[in-house]
Amino acid sequence: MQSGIATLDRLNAGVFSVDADMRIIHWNLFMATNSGRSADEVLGRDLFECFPELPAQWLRWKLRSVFLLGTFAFSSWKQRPYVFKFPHNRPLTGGIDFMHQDVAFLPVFADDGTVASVCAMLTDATDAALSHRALDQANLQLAREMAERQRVENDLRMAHKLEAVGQLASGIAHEINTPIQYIADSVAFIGEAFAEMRSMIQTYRQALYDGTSEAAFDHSPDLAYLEQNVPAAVERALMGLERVAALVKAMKEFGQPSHAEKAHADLNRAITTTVTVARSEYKDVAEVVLDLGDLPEVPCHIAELNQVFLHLIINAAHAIAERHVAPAKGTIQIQTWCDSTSVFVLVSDDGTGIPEAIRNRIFDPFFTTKPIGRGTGQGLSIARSIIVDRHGGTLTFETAIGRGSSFVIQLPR
Amino acid sequence: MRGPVIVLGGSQQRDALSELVNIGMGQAGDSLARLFDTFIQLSIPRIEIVQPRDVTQAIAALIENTGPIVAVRQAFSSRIRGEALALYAAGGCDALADLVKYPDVNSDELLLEISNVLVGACVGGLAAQFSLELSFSPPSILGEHASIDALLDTACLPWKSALVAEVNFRVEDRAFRCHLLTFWPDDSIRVLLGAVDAFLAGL
Repeated sequence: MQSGIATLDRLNAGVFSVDADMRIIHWNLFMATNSGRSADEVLGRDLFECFPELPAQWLRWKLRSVFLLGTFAFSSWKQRPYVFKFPHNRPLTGGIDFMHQDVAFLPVFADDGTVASVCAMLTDATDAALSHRALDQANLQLAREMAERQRVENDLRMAHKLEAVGQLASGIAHEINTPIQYIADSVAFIGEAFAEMRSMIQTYRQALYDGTSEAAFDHSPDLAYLEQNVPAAVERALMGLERVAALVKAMKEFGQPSHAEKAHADLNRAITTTVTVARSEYKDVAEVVLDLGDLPEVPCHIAELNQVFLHLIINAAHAIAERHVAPAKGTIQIQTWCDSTSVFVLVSDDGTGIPEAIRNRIFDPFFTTKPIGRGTGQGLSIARSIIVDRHGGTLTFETAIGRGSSFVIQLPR
Repeated sequence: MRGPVIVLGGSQQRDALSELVNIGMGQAGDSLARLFDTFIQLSIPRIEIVQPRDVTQAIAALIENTGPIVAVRQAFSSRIRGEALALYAAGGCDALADLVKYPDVNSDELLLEISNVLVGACVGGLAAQFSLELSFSPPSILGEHASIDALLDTACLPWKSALVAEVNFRVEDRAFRCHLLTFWPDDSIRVLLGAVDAFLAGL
């Protein structure tokens, strides 16, 4: 028994026991050293009288639960930094007020099975607490940096989107201008035709009044010409208006703002929209062939995916332009399909293909082979970030020099 | 050491085990009532043997809840080793704040305190039926506002079978409910069932 007590005294942990009346019945050297109260001073005395600074209500409840239930109780420095106000072990380095402590309360049973006393074991958790605090600070810093990085990425994506919209703007203006011109021509023609018909009606009225209607018909302008061409002009104007309306609608859909939360969206519709707004970018060099399979709506940031589709289409057009000499055109094929877990979008071209030497760099930020003003080198980097980081998907490619490239987007359903 | 998947020997073994668990939990209920000075309602314990691939579904079925929960874990060991999960609805133990009679208790401390008391009383009560003296680790929070799926990585569970005993607690007139699940994996089940068989042989 003596050796057991000697062992307890050598422990680098506080060990003390109290009986049901809260009298101290054991007090080891660690407790004596750190409290400044020797065993002789405290043994047999009430714990709370000896240490009035203890959190009495809390500690009494803990001890009572052990006496009553005969089971363990615990206290962690995380919730209650210290029970005893012991000095910490950092007289030189400091950085903390008191020794932080974990305490375990163990029942000690009498022969009749009742709890005779409660033994408390107190361990110094100061170093763990300081490490934890440092870790908390590091985590906080990391969270701040991640938030800042997220903000910068968002800004970059927005800038890229604005760049894409800017790039499209002149093409779109041209796309709108063409139907506007023939709408204007058609409406002008209809205006002239209306003036002629009004004059004709005047002539007929006068002829009816004069009783010379046959002569009026002989001198009438070419009614058959107007009958044939006015409806055609109206049809052309309406077609032009439909074309402008479709472009505006596509532009509106393409340019919709990004939202923080994903929403279910129809990828086929987004692809069709993007193909419409990007027409000016590819129409001189390529035909677009759509092979869109049945797709479920998928949870996504559709405005960001529009950017990806646009970028892949423009890249394909540029690759085709380098290989095919006008008036020969290449083909951009866009296919969609799905399986039980994913949807897939393939954008392929029959352009130049990607040289082997740069294949492992095409997704690097700011990497570009295009002349100044034709690309910032951000497109594929941002496209991959949108697909991989924002959607948990993949963006892969296959390429062959002189035959073209295929990019495949995989997105989880 | 992991062995083959374990199944309960028969209805007699299951009934005896249920009865012993019931007695242990019942005694725990008495102690808890005296500690909290209020009436504690305990359910009849339910016992199942589960395998890792089924454990999430089994927990959801036992606690009849698939929404976000608060979970505290605590290990116990002696000749048998196991872990207890105390599962609460969102809000944890806040409804019991006044039952622990000390001031300035924060939400996490209360959660750990109540969980430790429930686990200690119930698992200790159960162990007493088998004459086992258990040692307990400090409780720790496994998840707050977490889904059941997020609690356990079923691909990495280091056991083939676990005996799960579930009991749930209510406290009169309070919005409080706790499901306490004790898990006894592989070899511990064998020790436990051995003790049950010895108990049956001694009848």
